[in-house]
Amino acid sequence: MHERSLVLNLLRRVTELTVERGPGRVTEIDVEVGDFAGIEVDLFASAFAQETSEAPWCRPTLQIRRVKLRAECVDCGPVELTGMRFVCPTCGSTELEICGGDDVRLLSFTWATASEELS
Amino acid sequence: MTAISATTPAPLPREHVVVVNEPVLAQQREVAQDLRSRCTARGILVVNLVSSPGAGKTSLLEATARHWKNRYRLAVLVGDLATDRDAQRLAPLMPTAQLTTGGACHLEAPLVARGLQALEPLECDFLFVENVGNLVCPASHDLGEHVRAVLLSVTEGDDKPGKYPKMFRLSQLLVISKLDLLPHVPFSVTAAIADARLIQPQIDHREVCAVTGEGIAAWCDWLEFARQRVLHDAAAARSPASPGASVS
Repeated sequence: MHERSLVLNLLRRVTELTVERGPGRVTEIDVEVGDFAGIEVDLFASAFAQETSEAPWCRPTLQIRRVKLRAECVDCGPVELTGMRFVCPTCGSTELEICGGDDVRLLSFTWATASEELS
Repeated sequence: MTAISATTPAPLPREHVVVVNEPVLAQQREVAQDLRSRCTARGILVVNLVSSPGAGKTSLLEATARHWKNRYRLAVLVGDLATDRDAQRLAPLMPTAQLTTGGACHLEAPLVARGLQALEPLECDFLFVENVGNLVCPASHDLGEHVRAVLLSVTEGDDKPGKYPKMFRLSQLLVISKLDLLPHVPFSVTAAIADARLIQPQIDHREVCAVTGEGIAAWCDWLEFARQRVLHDAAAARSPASPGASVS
């Protein structure tokens, strides 16, 4: 179950990005999960809820955006793949380069501060 | 879109969105790339050996060492959830460092980097990383390898590649192991290769038996060929004709 490991990497990165921002808290984290990312989204969300239930986290909202597996076919250009079949749905070619939907990405997070001046 | 929310403290007055847009494992991948570059510069082929538990990774490494004898210098990082039993088996054959994950189901590049420190001064031609037996979680983690070899033993079933597409998609070599058991199990080597090639059309394959030694020479030849590419890359990086290609 590497979903927890991914969550810990995610939270470590967000922490790094907030460390110099002064007082405030993260209220939302927005991630993209590809169909070929190799994770179970419910397990990921469950691990996230568990890891953010205590300080310094204040139960931020997790937004998960699912994306299809995308590839570049040498003949047809960008295509979306389904069913884990690495075959161009248009021409049947297997000459495909994966170009998205195979990863977990940190898209953004929302930083809340009491200060009137945004950091 | 799925939203998981819970009770939060009273909202603070100002919020703004910080755009990041990077892989969650970006930093791990930088560590992996650094490891790969350093090993390339030293002419070391790094092989990430993955499989289900019990497919024969340790036995394959023993057979590899027996086949090459002292022809090449080998080293291995052995990943296990618990115990150092595999490392103990390999220690008489090559420099060995144990990576105990404490229950985690996969290795990550920073752990491999720490393990490499235990092997310093690293003087070898081939560095094997025997991953934790698991065809799911290790698939997502670049360990700094040049090649990923996935073992599939004939007792597991020839339809396995399609069940674990990410691992087979990201592997360069399919090693079908325990070939001596083939007469006793309903396993088709042809079907297993065909299934793997639906996932990764470029995947190579070798069939081996660590007990009898069948196919071990062909597996070792494949490794030698892969290392030649690393040596070529290392030479190109050192060449004055390729400014900026130096590797520290």
